Amino acid sequence: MGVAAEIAAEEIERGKEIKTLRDKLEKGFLERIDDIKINGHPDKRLDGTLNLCVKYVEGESMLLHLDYNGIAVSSGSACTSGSLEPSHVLTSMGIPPTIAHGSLRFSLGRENTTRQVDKVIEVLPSIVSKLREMSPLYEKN
Amino acid sequence: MVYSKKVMEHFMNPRNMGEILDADGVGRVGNPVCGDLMTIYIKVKDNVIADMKFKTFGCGAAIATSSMVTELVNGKTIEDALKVTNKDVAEELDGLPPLKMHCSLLAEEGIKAAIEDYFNKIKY
Repeated sequence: MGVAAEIAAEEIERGKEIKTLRDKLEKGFLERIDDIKINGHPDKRLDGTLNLCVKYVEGESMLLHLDYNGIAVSSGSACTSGSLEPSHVLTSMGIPPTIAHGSLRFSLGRENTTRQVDKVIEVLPSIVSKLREMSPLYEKN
Repeated sequence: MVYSKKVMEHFMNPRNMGEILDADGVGRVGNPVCGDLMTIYIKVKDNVIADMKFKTFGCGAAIATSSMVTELVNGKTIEDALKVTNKDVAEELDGLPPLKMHCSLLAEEGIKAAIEDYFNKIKY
């Protein structure tokens, strides 16, 4: 029981570290990318995940560019990654389908580092601007 | 989604991306609600597609098929451009995943819509 409590206490500390990384990632994106929407409750959500929608860009196209840069993320929700439909969770939350198509989910774990988060913050904005330049939805705005 | 090397190459380095402000024909196909929207611009000179550009909102396959269809159609006569099918686009890309074949159809419809727009414009 004592050992279990010890492990649990360590896990709580790690959870806080993961949340710090997630918040850093979120702040970095909000500072560098226009027209994004963070999904979910500001506080009442999992500490290690960041779900957001990037307007005027489709999710898979961002995912492929991130993958090319060695960054593994998911588009949509965990349960619908094999489907072309926008996440039914996001559309149920009132997000229009066109915007829901541009969702990304970053899942952080205990192995992730500040350096990795910095890299993602550096890489995603240029991917988004490249894809927006290509998007017929963006020119109208 | 596993794509061929050629799909990835066109996705990473799309050919003829952009718009033609004084286009002779513009084709808009797809629906952003479904995750794909393609706009194709053409310039026509002496019955030949003299220039062609595209803008696409969509997945990797949608961007790659847009890029490929501009390569296939650019420089062709209107008649030959209308003969380019979605299968031609998919084959030139060394195939597409079955779930993504509709993207090649969008590319075929896009060029047809642009040519139709061109015909409508010269009629009036």
